[in-house]
Order: sequence, then structure tokens, then C-alpha cells
Amino acid sequence: MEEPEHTHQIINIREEAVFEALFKKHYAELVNFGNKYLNDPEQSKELVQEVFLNIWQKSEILKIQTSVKSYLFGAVRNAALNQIKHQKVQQKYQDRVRFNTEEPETVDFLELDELKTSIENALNKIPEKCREIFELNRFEGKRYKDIAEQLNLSLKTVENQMGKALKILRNELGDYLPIVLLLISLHGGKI
Amino acid sequence: MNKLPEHITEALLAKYFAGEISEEEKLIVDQWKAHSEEAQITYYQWEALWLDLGNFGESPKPVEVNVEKSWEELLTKRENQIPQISSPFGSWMKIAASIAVVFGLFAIIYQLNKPADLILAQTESSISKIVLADGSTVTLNKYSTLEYPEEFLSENRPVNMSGEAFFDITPDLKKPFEIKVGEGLITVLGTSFNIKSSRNTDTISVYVQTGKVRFDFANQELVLTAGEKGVLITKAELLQKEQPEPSGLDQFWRTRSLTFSGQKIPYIIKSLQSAYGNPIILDSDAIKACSLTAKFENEELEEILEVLSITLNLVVEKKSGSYILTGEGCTDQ
Repeated sequence: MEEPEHTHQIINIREEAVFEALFKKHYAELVNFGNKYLNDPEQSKELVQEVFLNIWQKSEILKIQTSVKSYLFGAVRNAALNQIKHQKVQQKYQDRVRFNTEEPETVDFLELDELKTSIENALNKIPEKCREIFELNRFEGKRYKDIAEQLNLSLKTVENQMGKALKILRNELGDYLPIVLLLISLHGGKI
Repeated sequence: MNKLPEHITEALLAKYFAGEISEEEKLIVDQWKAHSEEAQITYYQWEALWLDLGNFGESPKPVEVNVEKSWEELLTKRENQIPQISSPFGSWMKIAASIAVVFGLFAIIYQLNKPADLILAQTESSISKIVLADGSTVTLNKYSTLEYPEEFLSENRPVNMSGEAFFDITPDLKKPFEIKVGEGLITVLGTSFNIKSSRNTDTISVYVQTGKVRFDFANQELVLTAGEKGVLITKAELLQKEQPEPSGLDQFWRTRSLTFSGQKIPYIIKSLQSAYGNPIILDSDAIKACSLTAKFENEELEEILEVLSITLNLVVEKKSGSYILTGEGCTDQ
């Protein structure tokens, strides 16, 4: 198993005081972060607790290659994406995902700050009007109908501009996709 | 990078994720992603992108969090999980244990909190064999746990398990061997059998290879003898006998062997699918009537499919992780 030449920060998570401090420091922020994916406060609280329990159970010494915070956010994001995926897949592929749902392996976490920067850069590549429409929907939660009214556009235009924005983002963020792919293949359909 | 098919536009996906999609359009997307594993992966990539992008906006409403209360909840959950670990050994043992976990190997964690020294064995991605103090052996499947005392000091031999395991118990008429699994209790004197508990289907099943086993749940009791299988559906509080798989599928995880004695193709396909986890699709009704008698031991799926294609005159095609079988049918059978 190869290890990149990062400096490892070694934290003894099984030291009660360390564990408690980590939890109390990041819990609220992590719940809000998870909630952006799940849009369900109770489930998000549950999810973050599960992530902490998992970390507690899995390892006594946690080797972390970035900041602890980055690690925790990455872990919550992975868990949230998996939960969303499993909820949908469960019915159809119940047998096949059996082993995956039981104890998912720890996966590589995402450099969250890096992702944020890449997304920001990608957003800057979208033409102004198009970006405005996208942000009104995705960031401010406005319905297509309301956006069309506000900007005096047809509904069809809003639909098309949303598609255009998503396409540009996808193209610009190509580099980040392998990480998602890794995540999916590790938790994916194979046993 | 997986490309989208022509009829799935980015605008359509955006509508889908944003919840602005019509019923008919939704059907188009659903059908596309259900079509193949490849499409499904592509879909999840787009969905993950959409969700990640949501991080930049304002949360609909900040979630109110009571950190102290949540911490207490977490502590309770932790207590109720797999028992606490406290190593009597130096830190090298801790490091060894964490390395074993990291590498997906077998980790034994010692626990000294209880009167009898309990050992917790937990497997990750590989199968492990454990020898107990009385000489009994337990083969523990992947992602399963077994908790057992270092020595059997009481009047019985109690252990706890979850997941799946095969037990070969050394006979001792004076000390029954007791396995607690979920809400079920399995009692034996000396025998070999398989236990599987599944959280997904909420069942516990016991398959007896030799000897006799008693399966208790609440105030129900089931006595199983060699070749019999008992299943507990916990939520339905139903404990009953079931036909074991004639192909030996129940034991496949351990024996890597499947035996078919004249079963029809649909059953054979179903068994191979659960044993190997790859989807196999039957693309011709004509071959459903074909049957097979064969024993496969330690064979790869592709080798088995090759045998099938030769004996039953089938064409096997591999397409993104699935196998598709076609053929003319079996007239000579």
C-alpha cells in the first residue's frame, strides 16, 4: 500500500478527551454541512453521530493527512452521498448491496477546501446571466417559475440556462470527478 | 468520463435534481439510469456534483443543535455498540490492531472490563477462522463479529455474534454451547452449523450440517437436525423451518462450491448471481427449460458460464459487469 509523502498528523482518537473535544468543536458545523446534502435535520444529526462512532470504532490512531476538519467534512460528505444512494438503490438491489451497507470501508476523503476553490473557479466560467439563474435556483432555492418572472424570461429559457450552467460546471470540474468515481466504485454495485 | 446519451440533456438533469421535472420526463431519466450499471454511475456523478454545488448556497434554515445532548446520545450509542476496547498491552498492540484494521485484516481486540475475559473478533474484508478454548472452531465471514470468553468458566459456553459464521462445536454434554445472535438464541451440545444474520432483511437463519440444534426466540422454539434450515424473521416474530438451497448456496461463502442436480436454468442463474454478485440476464425464454447437473468447486464465474455455454449451447456476452445469456433452447432434454 503506497502512502503519499505528506506529513501525518497523528491523533489518538481513542483518548476520550480528544474524541470529546473534536466532537464538541465540529458537531454543529458538520450537522449543517450534512444537512445541505440530506435536507433533513434529524437524519443529519444521526449521520454525523454515525461518522464519529465509525471513527471511534475503526481506529485507535487516526492518521490524517490534512487537517482534522477536512477529514471530518470529507467523511460526512461521503456518508451523506452514500446514504442518498442507498436509499434509492435499496429496493432494487437489496441483495447485492448487502455487504456494502453493513460496514463500508473507510474511503479517501476529499480535500474540501480544494473542492471549494475549484467550484468557485468553475462558477466564474459561466456567463453572467446564466450564472445568475443558476445561483437563484441552486443557492437561493427559487423555483424556475419565480426566476422566470423575476428576470422576465420564458420558463424554457430558465430550463435551458440551468442545463448550460450544469454542463459548464461539469466540464470545468472534470478533475474532481475521479474522486467521486472512486467513492462510487468503492461503495458501488460490486460485492 | 462517461457521456450522457443524446436524450438525457443537462437541462433535463437539472430539472430532475431541482424537482422541476414533469412525470413523463422523470420516467425518461429513471428508465435511463435503471438501464445499466454504467448509466447508474454516470447518474451518481451528476447527482454528487449537484449536491456538492449546494454547499455554496445558504442552508435553507440553520439546524438547531444541542451539542451537549448530542454528545450524551453519542455516548449511549457507543455503549450499546460493540463493547468498549481497552487494551492491557502497550501501545504497540494498539498500533498493530489499527494496522490490521487499516489493511482489512482480522483484528482481535482484548477487553478486560468484564469478569470473564471476553475477546472480540471482528472481520473486515476477509474471512477468518477462530479456535475457541474448548477446541470448537468458528469460521467468520466478512464484516462479522464474534465475542467469546477466553476460557469457558461458567456452566455453559456463551458467545455473541453478528453477521455470518460457520460453527463446528466440540461435543461437551455437560456444557451446552450458546450463541446469542440478535434476539435469537441457538443452543447446541456438539454439532456443525451455519448462522447468518442480516440487518437488511431483518432475518437470522441457521443451517445445520451435522447433529442437532435448538433455536429459541422469545417463547418460541425450533429444533433443527442435519440438513435443516430455520429462519427467524425478527420483526414478524416468526420462527420457522425453510427449505435449504439445494445448490449449497447457503454455504457458498465458505465452501466456494455449488452443486446442481437437474435444476432449471432460472434457478441456476439465481444461485450464481447471489454467489458471485454479478448480474446475469436471461435474454431468451427458449433456454428457461434447460437444466443442468454439475458440481463447481473453486471456480470463477466466467469458467462456470463457459461450461454452461458448452453444455447447453448458449451464447454468453459480457456487458459492463453483467452477463447476458442467449440461446436456441434445449430440444434433446
